[in-house]
Amino acid sequence: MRISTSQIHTNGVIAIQRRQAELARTQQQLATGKRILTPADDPAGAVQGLKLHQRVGSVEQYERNAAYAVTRLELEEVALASLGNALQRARELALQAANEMLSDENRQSIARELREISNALLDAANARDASGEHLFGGYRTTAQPFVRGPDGQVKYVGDGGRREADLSPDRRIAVGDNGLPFMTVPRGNGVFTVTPDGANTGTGRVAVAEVMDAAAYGGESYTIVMTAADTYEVLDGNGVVVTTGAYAAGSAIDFGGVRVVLDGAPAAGDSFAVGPAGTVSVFAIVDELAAALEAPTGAPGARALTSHAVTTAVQNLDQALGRVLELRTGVGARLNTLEQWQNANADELLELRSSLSEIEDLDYAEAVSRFRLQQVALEAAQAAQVQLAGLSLFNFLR
Amino acid sequence: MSGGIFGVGVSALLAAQRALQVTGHNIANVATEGYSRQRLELASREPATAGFGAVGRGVEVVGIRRVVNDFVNQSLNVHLSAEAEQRTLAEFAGRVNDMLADAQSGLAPALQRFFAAAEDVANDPTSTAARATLIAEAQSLVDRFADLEATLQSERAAASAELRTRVDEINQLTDGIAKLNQAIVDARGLGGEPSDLLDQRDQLVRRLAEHVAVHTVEQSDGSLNVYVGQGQALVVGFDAAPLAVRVVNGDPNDLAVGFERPGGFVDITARLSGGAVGALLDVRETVIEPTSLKLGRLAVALASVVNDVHRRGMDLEGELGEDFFGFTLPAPLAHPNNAATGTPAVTVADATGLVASDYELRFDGTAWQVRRLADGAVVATVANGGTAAFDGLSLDLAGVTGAAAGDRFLLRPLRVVPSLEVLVTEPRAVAAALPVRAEPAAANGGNAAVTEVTIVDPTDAALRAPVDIAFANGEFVVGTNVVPLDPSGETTIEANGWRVVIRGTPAEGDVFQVRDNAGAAGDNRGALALAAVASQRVLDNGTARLDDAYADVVAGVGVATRRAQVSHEAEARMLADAQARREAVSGVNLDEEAANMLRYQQAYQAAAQVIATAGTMIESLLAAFRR
Repeated sequence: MRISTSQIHTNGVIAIQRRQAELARTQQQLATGKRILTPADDPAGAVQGLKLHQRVGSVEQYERNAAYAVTRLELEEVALASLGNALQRARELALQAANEMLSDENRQSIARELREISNALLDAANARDASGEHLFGGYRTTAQPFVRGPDGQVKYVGDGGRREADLSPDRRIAVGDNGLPFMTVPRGNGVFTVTPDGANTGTGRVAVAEVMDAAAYGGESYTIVMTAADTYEVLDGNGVVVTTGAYAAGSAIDFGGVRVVLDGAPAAGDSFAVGPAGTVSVFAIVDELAAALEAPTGAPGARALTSHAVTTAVQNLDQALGRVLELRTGVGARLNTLEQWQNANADELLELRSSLSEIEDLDYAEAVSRFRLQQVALEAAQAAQVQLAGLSLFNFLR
Repeated sequence: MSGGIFGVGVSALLAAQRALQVTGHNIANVATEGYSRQRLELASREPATAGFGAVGRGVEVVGIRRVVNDFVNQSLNVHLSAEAEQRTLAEFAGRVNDMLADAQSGLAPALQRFFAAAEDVANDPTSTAARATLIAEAQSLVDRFADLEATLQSERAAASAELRTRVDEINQLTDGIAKLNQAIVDARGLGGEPSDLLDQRDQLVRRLAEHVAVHTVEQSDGSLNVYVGQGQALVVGFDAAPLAVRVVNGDPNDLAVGFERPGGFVDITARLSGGAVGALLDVRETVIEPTSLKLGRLAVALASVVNDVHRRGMDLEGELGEDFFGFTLPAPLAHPNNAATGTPAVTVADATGLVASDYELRFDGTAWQVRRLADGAVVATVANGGTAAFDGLSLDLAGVTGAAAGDRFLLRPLRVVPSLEVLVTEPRAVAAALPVRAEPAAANGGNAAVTEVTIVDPTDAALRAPVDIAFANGEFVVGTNVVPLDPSGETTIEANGWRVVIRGTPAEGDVFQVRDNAGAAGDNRGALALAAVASQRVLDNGTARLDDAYADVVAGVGVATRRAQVSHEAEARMLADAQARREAVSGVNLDEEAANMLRYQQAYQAAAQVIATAGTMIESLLAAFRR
């Protein structure tokens, strides 16, 4: 084909420009470390990169959520631990107070310590998290959830809400518990209670109160009345006699699916009320015990009442400790879950980052060798251009 | 006899001189753009007849011919148009592409950070800092929308400005071609080929082809007619028809190209193709507008869904949440010739159904037809004064009266980005909680718990009224509403604008309390619901998440740009080939000219020698007589 002189120049210039453009692109890739400089370089890869960035971003956010959750749950665990310790100490004191040899003064000093424990319980239950929110307030985290009223009773002013955190688009985890479980500890054995009448004069005490037939006891109220020092009768809520018998200390009185064992020497006319257990707050358990210990124990009846109060308090404290343990187990399980989840998340993040790097990042070895090649090609094109431009017949016309 | 020799010598001398002149002209124009090499056409003169035969009388110059191939030139014009079109397309699409290039500055990270900020509010709902961050991230999200839209609009403006400039240049070029037609016809009349004028005219046509695809027809008198599109004449004989630019739809960047005729403006925009002008018209339709529409759709969906969730929440003051984002759908544009008065009302009914398109509303005399401009489909037919729902929008024509057939409105409901704003400015006004809570009463005997509380209708007057759900005889009772216990263990109860899910086994007489949640600063359910929008499929009829929709925008632009770049590369090579072909035919080769120069120089020297020899002959003769 015929070649014109300007074509020779144009061809050379186009070749050089093309090489320069390629070099500039490789240089930009090397400078940024990115394989994809704009979406047009690889639309599919760019979109995939965009989505992976999004995933990395949300996984990182979920990690932040988990870190928040761990902090909060750990604080809750600390609060629950101190609640448990306080209740445990109260239980030890209750067992001490069960000793009949104690003087009123001894009992009162135990009562004083119990009052302190009650306040410590209140403090622990009003614990705050890192940002000053009360842990056990439900959704009402800004106001103190447990408040001691003028009557000395602790009231719960929080609600039944339970905060959750996102761990993934379709997984949430509770990052706290509300204070309701502290307010609703079942009394005694959790089904029914036997309470000696305040006017009892004998030393009769409740030794055992257990459910024999859960289906037969439906929360009815009964009264065990000592018709004489050695006979009793059991009346139901309507005053109808359910059963009667001869009293012997330590022998079982069975009725309505429950068994009550009394010991000591109840006086004629003494009575014991049987009723559904009901619930009590952890604070009231300790407060009630303290109040019982503060009462003087001169009369035999009063001593029996105090002794009864101590026994039921121990039962109630066991229930309360069970509650706290239940909550701690829940928190521990959630912390475990979170730890496992965080490990899995870290793996996922690593995986995502390496996918992202495969899509977006430059293979430096390849790019550098490509750069060298393009450099050589450019130099060759330039050299060829200079050589060609020097070739002219006119050079020989002298 | 010697006169004959002289004559032959002189003719050769003159021919060689002329040839050297042509060679010199070629050499002089080696760098002239559009120059076609010229060649001297020689022929032997008519011989003198003698008794013994014909005696040559030397050489004569028949003419100077420019070496061209019309087919090659036509094909060069075609490739010039195609290359210029793809180059311009790649340039404009490339700029939009660059705007989306950086993963860290695009919309995606802003979207991500907004929802991450919602998660942080959920982590720490009483923190004013977390709430303020959410508002700041919302603002930066709105700013990113605005930036992207502004870039698109500035590209639109740049395309319009370039269109105006190019139309001006087209008019200058066609004017030049018309004048050259005149000069060429005149020169032909005087005899001879006006090679350099023809080259100039070809060069003007080539420059014209870069602006817009043209078709040329040479007339017998030597003038050239130039047509664009489907036979719209730009130059006929000695006259050029200037193109004009008109603003349409009241948008200074929405331009139409056509001719100003006595009867009015003749719009030929749709017929123009190829060249930079074709690309400028095309890039609007294929890159800028779809991207802007998709962004607008994303903005409407984001704002609608977030607002919807936020209105169901409760802020720190115990009030129901307000709209989080504000936006206004632009009012429909009425056609200037409309007989109808009033404007149709367009509102977003369901953001998930939105389609990235503008719509045209046209009255055919009995009913209005809604045509989706993206694909031309008729999506609804509405009676005069009626209402319609289509593509997630609802249209109300009650305000339009006096319509006549042919009346038109342009609906651009998705052009909302300029009006997008963050309405929540107070950290306390972020609705991170829900207005009601539900929980089992303390005295409940069963183990049933409330697992979910959803606000169905935040406008229900009784929404926050304290209500007890009582369980008795296997049924939950709320007021007059009775819901049997679901055997699956999960019962959904709906009343007063809320929905509660109870899981577990309730005991007879158990009560679940639904209460006003005012004062619950630690409730994060509203914030969790906001954060959950990120993973909801809220677009394309519930198939795409917000970030999917943005990825779609990036992919659309990336693919369009890539296509333009690849086409441009191919066209550039084809253009280079076409240019090489033209150069092969018409280009000047200096070596060739140098060789010619040597040849003609020698011819000149030889001719001079012929004359010298003839002179010597005469001198010999004269000397003989002198003796």
